[in-house]
Amino acid sequence: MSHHHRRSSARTASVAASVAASIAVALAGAFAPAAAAQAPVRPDGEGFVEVVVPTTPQGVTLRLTSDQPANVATTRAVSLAQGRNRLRFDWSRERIDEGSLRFEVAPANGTANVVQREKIHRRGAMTYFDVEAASDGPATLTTRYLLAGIGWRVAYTGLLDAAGATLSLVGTVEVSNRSGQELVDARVVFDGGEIAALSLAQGERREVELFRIDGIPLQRRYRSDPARHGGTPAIEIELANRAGTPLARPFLPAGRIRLLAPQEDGRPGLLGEDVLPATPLNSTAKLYVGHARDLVVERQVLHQGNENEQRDRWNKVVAYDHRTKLAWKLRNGGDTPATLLLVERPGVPFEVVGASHAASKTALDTVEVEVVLPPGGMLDASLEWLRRNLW
Amino acid sequence: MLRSIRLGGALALLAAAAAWPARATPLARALPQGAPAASPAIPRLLVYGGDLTIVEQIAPVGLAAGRNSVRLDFVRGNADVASLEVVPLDRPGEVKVAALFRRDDLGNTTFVELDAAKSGPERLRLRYAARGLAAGVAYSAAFDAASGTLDLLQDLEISNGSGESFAQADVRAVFGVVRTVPSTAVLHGRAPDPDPNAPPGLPTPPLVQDLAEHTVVPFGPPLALPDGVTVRRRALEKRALPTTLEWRWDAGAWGGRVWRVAKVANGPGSALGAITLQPGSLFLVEREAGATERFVRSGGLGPLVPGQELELDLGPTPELSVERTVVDLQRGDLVFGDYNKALVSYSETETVKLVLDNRAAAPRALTVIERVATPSFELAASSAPATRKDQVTLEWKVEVAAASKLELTYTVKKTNLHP
Repeated sequence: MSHHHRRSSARTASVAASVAASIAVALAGAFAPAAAAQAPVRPDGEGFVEVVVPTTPQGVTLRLTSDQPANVATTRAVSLAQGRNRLRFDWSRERIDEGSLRFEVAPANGTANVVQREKIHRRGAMTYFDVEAASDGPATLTTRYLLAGIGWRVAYTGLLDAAGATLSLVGTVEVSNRSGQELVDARVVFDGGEIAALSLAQGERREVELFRIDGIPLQRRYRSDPARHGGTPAIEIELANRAGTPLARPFLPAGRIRLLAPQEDGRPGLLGEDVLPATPLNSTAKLYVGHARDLVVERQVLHQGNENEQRDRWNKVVAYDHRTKLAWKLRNGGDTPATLLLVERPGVPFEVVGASHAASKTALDTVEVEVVLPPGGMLDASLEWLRRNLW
Repeated sequence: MLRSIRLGGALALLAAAAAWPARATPLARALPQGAPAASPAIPRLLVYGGDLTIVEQIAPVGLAAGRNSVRLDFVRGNADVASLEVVPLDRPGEVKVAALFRRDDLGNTTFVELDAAKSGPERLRLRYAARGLAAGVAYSAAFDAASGTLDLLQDLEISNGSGESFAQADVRAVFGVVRTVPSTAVLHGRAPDPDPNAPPGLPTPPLVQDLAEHTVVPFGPPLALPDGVTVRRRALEKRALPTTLEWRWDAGAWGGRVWRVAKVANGPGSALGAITLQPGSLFLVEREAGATERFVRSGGLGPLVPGQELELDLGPTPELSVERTVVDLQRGDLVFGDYNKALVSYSETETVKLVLDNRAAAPRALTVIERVATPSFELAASSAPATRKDQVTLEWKVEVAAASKLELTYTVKKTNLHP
């Protein structure tokens, strides 16, 4: 009984000492700079040196992509003792993907290798890395992992010049942090840009300007597509991201673009908004920003009827051809020439059999007639197609 | 004479380091059958898939001449005592296992009845199956675009949820498919009731093709494996593997974007060295110019056998794009029935235009894969030579010059279509 009592007392004393040591370490941690390298602590009897890793890393790099969690690389400075070191990381607050966790150690002197990594399930999100160091000294730890909760979006604002021929474009990026991790001077890299140092606490968002480019040439045309845009012609603006032009960005991420144009008083008014698709270098993006009120399109169906009907034994039509004739009356109320695309979708299959202007089959069920309208002028156009072997 | 051994409890076993093979070895070589060889001084765990672990321990006992009874207590853990196998190691001719005896009121406790010709010490090899341990491999690969090389790392992870703690253990993971039969399967009087709806005849066991293809990946030096702990160690590290890149496009893959494929040779004399890769999870990144790593994808890797090329999809690239347009479709060859004049069959002629846009500063060899909706078709025209890979798949291999576009047009005639 007394023997048992002595063992129990010894255990109690050991626990008390351990708790006291923990409190001391916690207090020391609270008053010491979080990012400072900590001296190794040698616990008794475990055969390794436990190194308390600084909570706040010295360097953080986030690589963001459009459809994946942030790929994070953090670096920390620690002091390693010769022999087995156990490095403890606590990721209980961060939304990390533990399966993606990778770890590298680079000692200032000698060599060190990661022997194993251990997770003790009852201790929650604590992960332990065992490092075998050849000698005492400082080392840089790099941990890499996927972190959920970092959001980013790109937005563009474009201002057209008075003639509507060129564009001044401003690109911004907004980064939001709901990852549980506090970002301090983090380098943020994403497709098409980079922020050198970003500080963002949990629950914060920050918008940063990426670029501002003037004099970007653009093409403006109009599309009359009743099936997609209704009765009035839509404004289509084509933007080229091309080498050798002012806008020569390696990559323009997809994002909302707001186009402004000067009004009669010279102040910018809203022309319209669209989503700029992801646009790599040497490619173009088409934007649909609204409708033109100074172009009038009157569409008339002149003829629609069946031909060449095939009938079965009971005089029921089993196959036929179908012919359609359209005519347009077009007016341009503006004071500049306008290129207008008349878009029709006859269905599948079809063939163009006649047109007053250049007509091209741009897709399986789509035909486009291109008409250039003079300033303040009127024009007639027509189109005829035939659909064979329908049933 | 009764001896008592506690398994999974306070059984004192000495730890010792051993020489470890560097790589996976076939099971037949790793586990020689027949007479016991060098006996491990610490428990050896062979962790299989499907929640099966074979635990092997050596227990020293002192035997008297005549009948001895050794009591084995499985005090913790998910041990399958019905699978217990006891082999005397030191004097196989003199010491024989007479019986394994169990009692309902003592649970998992097993009494090993041994007949010894002479008294003396003896070591017993105990082998039994246990549940709750799991092993798996995880790969992380980093493709370096600048050097065109691949770093491939394989980690082996062992997780102990068996309820039994091992102060020291020699752990090996066995990959392959192993068929097991429940210990009660042929126990008369305890077999499950026959299924009244079963088909007539004897049930056919599932066919498994790779029974002889197990591989063992050692976990390295012995480790402490308490219950509720997961340990991960590096099992393979291959740096700067030379790769060849290919570009592919298929409208039905990667959202219709061009993707890259890295290929690494795995033959004798190659940098990978004709190795076997066990199936496992994959974490793939790409190293970029600005010293950053871009996460490409997760997924799976393997199995890979020696001689088989390692092929990794590196995900879409913005430097190439393909714009696909069906530019024409016409119907013809209408066939009407003789009797009722109804439409019986027809053909369709479809023309497709693919604009291949290479924005890179170097030429790219692009593999274009197209799938036709019907197997009854013929390629009527094509602007580049095509290969029919199977009934419905056409493939082109074209080279697109640097910073230029190439138009690929083809026409297929689909025949014998029915309205």
